[in-house]
Amino acid sequence: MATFSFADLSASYPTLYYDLRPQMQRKVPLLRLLPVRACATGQAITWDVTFDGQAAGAVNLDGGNFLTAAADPQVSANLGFGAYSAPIKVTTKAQWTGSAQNSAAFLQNLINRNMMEAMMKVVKVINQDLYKGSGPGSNQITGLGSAVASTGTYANINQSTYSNWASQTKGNSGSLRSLSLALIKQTIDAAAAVSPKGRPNLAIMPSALFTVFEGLFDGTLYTQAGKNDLQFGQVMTNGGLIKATGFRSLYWASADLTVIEDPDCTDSAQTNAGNAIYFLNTDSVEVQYLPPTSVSSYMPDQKVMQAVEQDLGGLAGLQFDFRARGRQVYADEFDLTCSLNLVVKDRAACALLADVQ
Amino acid sequence: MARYYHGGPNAVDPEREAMLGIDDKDIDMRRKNATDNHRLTRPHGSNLQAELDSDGEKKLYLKVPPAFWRYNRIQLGDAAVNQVIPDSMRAEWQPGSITLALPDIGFWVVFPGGSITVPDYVPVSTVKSIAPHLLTEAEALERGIAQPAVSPVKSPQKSPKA
Repeated sequence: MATFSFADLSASYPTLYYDLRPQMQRKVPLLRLLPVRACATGQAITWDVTFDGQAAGAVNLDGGNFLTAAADPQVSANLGFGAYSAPIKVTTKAQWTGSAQNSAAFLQNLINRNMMEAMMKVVKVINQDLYKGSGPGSNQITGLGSAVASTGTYANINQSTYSNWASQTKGNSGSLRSLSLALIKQTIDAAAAVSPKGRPNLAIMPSALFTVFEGLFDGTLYTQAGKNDLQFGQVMTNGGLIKATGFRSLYWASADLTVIEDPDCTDSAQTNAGNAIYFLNTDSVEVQYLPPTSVSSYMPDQKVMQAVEQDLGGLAGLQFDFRARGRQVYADEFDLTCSLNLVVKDRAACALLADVQ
Repeated sequence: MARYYHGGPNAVDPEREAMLGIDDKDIDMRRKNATDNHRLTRPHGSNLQAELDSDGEKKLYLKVPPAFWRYNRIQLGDAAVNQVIPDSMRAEWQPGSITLALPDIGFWVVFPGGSITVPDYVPVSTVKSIAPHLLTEAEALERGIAQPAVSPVKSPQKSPKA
């Protein structure tokens, strides 16, 4: 058994890595944008949500009454993990003929290429499920469709019990309407008014909507994403700078909003699933993974990790378990497995704009 | 349960919508949206399907969003699979209908002139932000869309005995 990350692969197999990296960038924008970190709370991802918090007010020091302290107001949120796997198979014949005709390096390349292709497939499925995953009950991620919603249960907290456990959602009764900057501003303003973490600062939309959105601006109204250091071609995210190649992005300066195109963006709870825009607060959203069992003996090269993160974002640190199956036929089979979930710590910090075209 | 009524094509006033615009371009776009798109007949074309029923009549169906599908859980030894109930994948649709999608609670198609009931714990503001064309009972009464509840029928008064 072994544990691999993209950072490992970039160090061990640089040619393959640079061959496949651009495809990754095209494919999984959201997974690359979000911070990715190992889960430290064991069986499930847990955190505390504060709805009302402590009370504060003016007091009369001249013999007036004390304010009444609030009881411990925190509510425990709890999320399980989705699990994803991609099997790899190398037949005995391929191994033998490959070794005979070329060299052992051929065989090594064959397995490693298969491994990286499997990894690409698995991160693609993960990126799709970041939107439409229906939760650990189906072994899937709990996607944004469930997390960024104005009703329902998310992370074991029911919105009907805690009314603030809701994202602002603006729809149009299932009838499509034209996207406008004012609609976006209204949606963000609605979230900002109730958010415990300020305004949403990241918008994710499908390709067709991004084209419409771009058309709403004059060229002078926005700048290329990467505002903090004005490095063109890069996006500043919560996890650091990543290269913005393979997908479109722009930074809307006056709204402090980085807008990203993701072809996988969808909301399976909407009548028009492909006509929705998510507004996320990057302080509130992250991906947590369950570290594979060998992680204690696994020591990543920090230097490589940091260098890679500039290209791939948090995704570089996502860990996969690569394990051989027992042989049943004349082929070696391996499973590349990863267990993770999307965490939206504060639903109210995010918003959804639906029914736009 | 709170009752909501289909507000009809004029549920959202184009002029009132236009007033929310931030500049001339936005005002025009909002007015156009409210005028054209609030005829309420426009889910995305690929979401609709037409079928002939057993009487040879054409019926329209709307594809229900996957988050609202219902499943039959089938146990296969130690494993279980979820099989989608086909009826839950689509809902009857009439031109002019509107939809209300509340994750984890339900999905409704409201026919023109129709009404639905939504659990009381869903705030009016939530329903209105998702489906602005739905009117509360009070708004529907005010606009003459709903009729006031009929007072209970009293038993005929017995004529006094002579």
